[in-house]
Amino acid sequence: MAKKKSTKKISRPKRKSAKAKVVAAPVVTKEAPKSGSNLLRIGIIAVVIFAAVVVFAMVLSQMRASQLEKQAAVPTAVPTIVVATNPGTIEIKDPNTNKSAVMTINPASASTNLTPAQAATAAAVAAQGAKAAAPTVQPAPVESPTSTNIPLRCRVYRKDVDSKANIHRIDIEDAKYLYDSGRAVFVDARGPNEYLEAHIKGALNVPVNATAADIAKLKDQLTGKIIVTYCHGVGCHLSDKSAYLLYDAGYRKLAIFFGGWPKWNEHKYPIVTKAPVDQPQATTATAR
Amino acid sequence: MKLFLKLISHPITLGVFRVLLGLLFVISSITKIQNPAKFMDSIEAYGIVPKLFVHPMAMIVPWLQIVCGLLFIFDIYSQSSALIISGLLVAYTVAIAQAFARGLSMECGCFDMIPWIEDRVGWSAIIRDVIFLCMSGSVFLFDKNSVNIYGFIKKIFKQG
Repeated sequence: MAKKKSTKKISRPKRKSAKAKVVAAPVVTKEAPKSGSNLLRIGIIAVVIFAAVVVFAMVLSQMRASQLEKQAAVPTAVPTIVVATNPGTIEIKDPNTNKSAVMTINPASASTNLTPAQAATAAAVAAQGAKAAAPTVQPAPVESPTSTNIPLRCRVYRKDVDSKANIHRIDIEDAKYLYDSGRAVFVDARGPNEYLEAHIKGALNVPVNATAADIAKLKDQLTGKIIVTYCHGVGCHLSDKSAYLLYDAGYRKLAIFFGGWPKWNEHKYPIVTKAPVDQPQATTATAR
Repeated sequence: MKLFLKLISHPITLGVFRVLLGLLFVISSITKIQNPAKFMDSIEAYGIVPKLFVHPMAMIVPWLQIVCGLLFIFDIYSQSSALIISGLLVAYTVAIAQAFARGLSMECGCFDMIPWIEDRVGWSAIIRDVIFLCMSGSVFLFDKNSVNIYGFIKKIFKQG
């Protein structure tokens, strides 16, 4: 019995200490948050997400590139036009499908649309009749923005545009041709500071916030010319907005040089840069 | 101050921040994915990224935006996504600020698909990006980095 009593007495303080530990345990965990490891975990997950996206984007761009290469590698068989045995008919052969179609044309209506060169060729074909002649009809140069002949292509810009949506968008070749021709006046649509810093030689500044009065001041320089607006390049729409301002001011011979300042500079065409620091107001011409 | 902290660390506020930023990032990334050439031009126009990195950046950034935006919306690893989004926003803010300081008057190429957001380099763009940065920063600081949507779906299935 004595032994039992003694064991009971000893066991009491043990229970108390156990209770104390249970109470103390959550306090310890609250006082020491694992902020460092949590940040590390956040960082690691962020890196994993970033890496996954990088890999995905790279794979996607590779796939796109290979797809484009495949498309380029596939020989594009263009349907060939063969003037058929009978005069007044055209046979079209498609090498992809091995199919052919014969079209009957009305020579009377066709001749009205033919140029003298084409008419002569057509007459020759008609004369040959059933000899199965297949002459190559050279298309006459066409005055259009898609023509490969730059001077011919640029003739289109001399005509008035009928709406803002139809304002021509020209590349560096056409811009340079128009610049050299002297028929065009270039308009810088960037801010005045950038214009003063450097601009295409001879260009005027019509920023997007220019008023009608500002544009009216440039009337003498703009009248009768093809107005070519430009800004920072492809991603920039300031040249569009300036062109619209000029359209609203009554000018109709308008073109937007979408390559803009970066493209012009890249080709090292004539520019005007700001004078050195000691002459801040003056501008010097730099023909390159 | 305590009230303000309480307000921005409230789960509902954080939820609103996440959904708003997530949607903005997803929507703005769509045009960039559709037309990477235009985005490349936008990056190039800032004149701070070397030409060598322009193409990889134009390929990676829109996907990073869309992934982080979706993670934000669905509350998956919000803090990690917030870290990436904050990084992107810091980069955008610095780029816009330097362009503005240099006097470049150009479109910022940030939200060209959302017509009611000013898409031009200037004070408004800088302030807007700083506000977005504060929002993503509060998500990073106060949100939980867990897959909450997974638990939510699990709960629905259990109930079902």
